[in-house]
Amino acid sequence: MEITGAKILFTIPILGGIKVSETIVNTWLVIVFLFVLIKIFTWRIEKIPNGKQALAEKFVLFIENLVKENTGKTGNKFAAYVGTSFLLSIMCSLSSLVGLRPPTADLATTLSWAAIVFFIIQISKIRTLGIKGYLKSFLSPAFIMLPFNIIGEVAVPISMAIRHFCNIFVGCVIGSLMGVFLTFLSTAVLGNLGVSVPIFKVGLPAILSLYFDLFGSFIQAFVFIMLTMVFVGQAIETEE
Amino acid sequence: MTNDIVSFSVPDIVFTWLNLLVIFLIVKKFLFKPIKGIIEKRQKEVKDMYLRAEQAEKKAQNLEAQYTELLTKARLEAAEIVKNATEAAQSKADTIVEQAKVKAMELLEKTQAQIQREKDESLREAFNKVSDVVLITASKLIEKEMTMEDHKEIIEKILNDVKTEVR
Repeated sequence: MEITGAKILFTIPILGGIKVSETIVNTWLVIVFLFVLIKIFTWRIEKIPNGKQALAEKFVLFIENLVKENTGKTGNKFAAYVGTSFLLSIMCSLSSLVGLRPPTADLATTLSWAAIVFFIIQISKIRTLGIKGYLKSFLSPAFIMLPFNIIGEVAVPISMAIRHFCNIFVGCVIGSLMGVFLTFLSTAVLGNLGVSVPIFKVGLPAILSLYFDLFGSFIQAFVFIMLTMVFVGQAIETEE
Repeated sequence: MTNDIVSFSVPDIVFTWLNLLVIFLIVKKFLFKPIKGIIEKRQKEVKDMYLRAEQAEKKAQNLEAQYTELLTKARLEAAEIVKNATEAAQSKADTIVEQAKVKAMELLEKTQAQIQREKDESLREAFNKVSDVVLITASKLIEKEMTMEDHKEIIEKILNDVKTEVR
């Protein structure tokens, strides 16, 4: 077997051929699914909420409270961004459950998301410190710290991206490896008895999937948004 | 054809950002905005309800105070009216009884006087008759020995004595 990156599904024949990978197409599917899900959950919202509306309200308030606690921001936009980030991340990771290659198992995806977080952090800092103060902050406490400060800033999104990517990707890899290994084991042990079905593949992968796909997806999405909020919160607090 | 395990190209990044933008707009417009709207609406309504309830309570308390005052006043008034009426009735009754007493007294006196008068009259009559009878009897007994005037004088004297005694 071979562990590879995302398959390239088709190429748009402009600008010298834009390759569209599995990751992008799967993200589109996730977006469509999320759109339908959101539409279902907010279908005919009323003042007295029914079950699914209450769930949607709970989610929105949960995200808002998290944002408020961690950044002190009360604006709708940032909360909506955090909510988006969470939903997209978790749904992308969970897409492995229906046999898709999770878009979050592609560094390009998580790194692009983290880049947005990086921009938000930098913009927040500029807003609170002013452009002069912002540039000066790279020289503190001394001029010599400039490269380290820059590395420190850049390390934030990179570490976020790699953490998210690795967790999901490793989940996929381990799943594949387990599949291969259990098939091999089945054949080796039961092959001589004339059982050609890899019977050992039943059971264990499900438990692993429970951890890597369900639990891991949730945890990684949560960690991703928590880090987003913490770093943005720090950027806002630097003014004090 | 596949990408490398760790690979990112500009198109990938641009696509991912576009995807993120699209889903961000969807989440913002279709999830956060309506849900926040409905929550705020509900909060406002609850606040209004509390406010209205408070106002109603205050109003009720005012009304209660007013009614209590009115009731107290009415009770006092009623008591006074009853008192006045009782007094008036009492005085009227007193007057009536007084008048009745006076009238009764008058009647009694009148009656007594009449009785006295009738008694006197009947006595006088009786005496007259008795004197006549005595006269006749006496004259029959001692005929012509005395004149009529003498007899009468004597008899009248006796009678007067008797009369005084009877009285």
